[in-house]
Amino acid sequence: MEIKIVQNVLAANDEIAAANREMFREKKTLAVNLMSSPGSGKTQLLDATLAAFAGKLRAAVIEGDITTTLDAERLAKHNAPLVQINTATIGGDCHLEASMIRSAASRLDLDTLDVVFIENVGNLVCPAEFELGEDHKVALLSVTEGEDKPLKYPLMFRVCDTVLLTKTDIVQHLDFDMDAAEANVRKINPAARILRLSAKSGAGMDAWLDFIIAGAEKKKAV
Amino acid sequence: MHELSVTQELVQTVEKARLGAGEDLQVTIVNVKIGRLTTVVPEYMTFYFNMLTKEMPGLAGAALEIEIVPITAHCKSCDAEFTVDEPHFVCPACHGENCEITGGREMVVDSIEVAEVEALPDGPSSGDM
Repeated sequence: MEIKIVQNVLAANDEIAAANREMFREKKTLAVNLMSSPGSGKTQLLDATLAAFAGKLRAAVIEGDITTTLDAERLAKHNAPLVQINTATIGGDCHLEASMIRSAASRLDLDTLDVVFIENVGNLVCPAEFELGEDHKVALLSVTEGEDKPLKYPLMFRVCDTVLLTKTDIVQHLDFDMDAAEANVRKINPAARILRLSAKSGAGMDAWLDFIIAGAEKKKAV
Repeated sequence: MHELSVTQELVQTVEKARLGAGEDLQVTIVNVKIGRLTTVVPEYMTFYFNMLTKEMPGLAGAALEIEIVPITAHCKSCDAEFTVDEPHFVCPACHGENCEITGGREMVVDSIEVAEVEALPDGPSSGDM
């Protein structure tokens, strides 16, 4: 006898993600999910972003790592609220799930925040699969990686709305072709917003900061 | 990489459906659909499925049948429906780039096959336990 089920295996995660989305809407807090390979500059970007927003925009960080609190320690100097999630204590998972964001957000006072940055586990594969309830999915691609990364990890570059080409300050020392990398992003995701920046030199950072500020303002206005 | 947690969810869904249909039913086949655009490796899913179910009454020995769903898209410019075989989401008919993905992200428990558990003829009677 056949029993029809037709249930999405990720339905449980999607339900909690929908609840998170509602929570961020109600609290008028912009939620931004940063995803990339390990070492693409997520923490460096947050470091520069929090410094630029000090006194202007109230930001918090949900920091996801398999283990260690090293990234959180690096960002502690900004006095921005920071919640560390270590996935190793809950199975060593390779990505953040909606339930982890829910529990991390409960430790933040969202009423006093304009934006919450979620630094996902460094991995171009699994984080792409899990909705968190965020407003923006941002993928970082550093110039020390290959231009073909978008083609090799199509789901990641398809689900994100924004791609940041990072570490552009050192591109002259590399064979990385930024135009080719952008063309590859467009093959997967023609509508993606693509920004080139260096969190270290500050080049291109204004467009990124403006994007976040505009998003936070729009969220408040709704 | 997260096949274990995904497969745990899958097993829970199947077990719930089985219990809903009748506690004394044995699941023989689990039909799932996995889209090509997902990040799930079917071989790992099968491995974890067998590992998780081997000691579960009613589920042990069930076969996991995985159907791979191709990546399909719909062109919003010319209305063409097409299959995406390489990482380039562009319409083959009009070369339009405004395409919506319509298939390939599935991770779905489609159905299960169940059978009545029959008393084993040579099994130990309760007196032997």
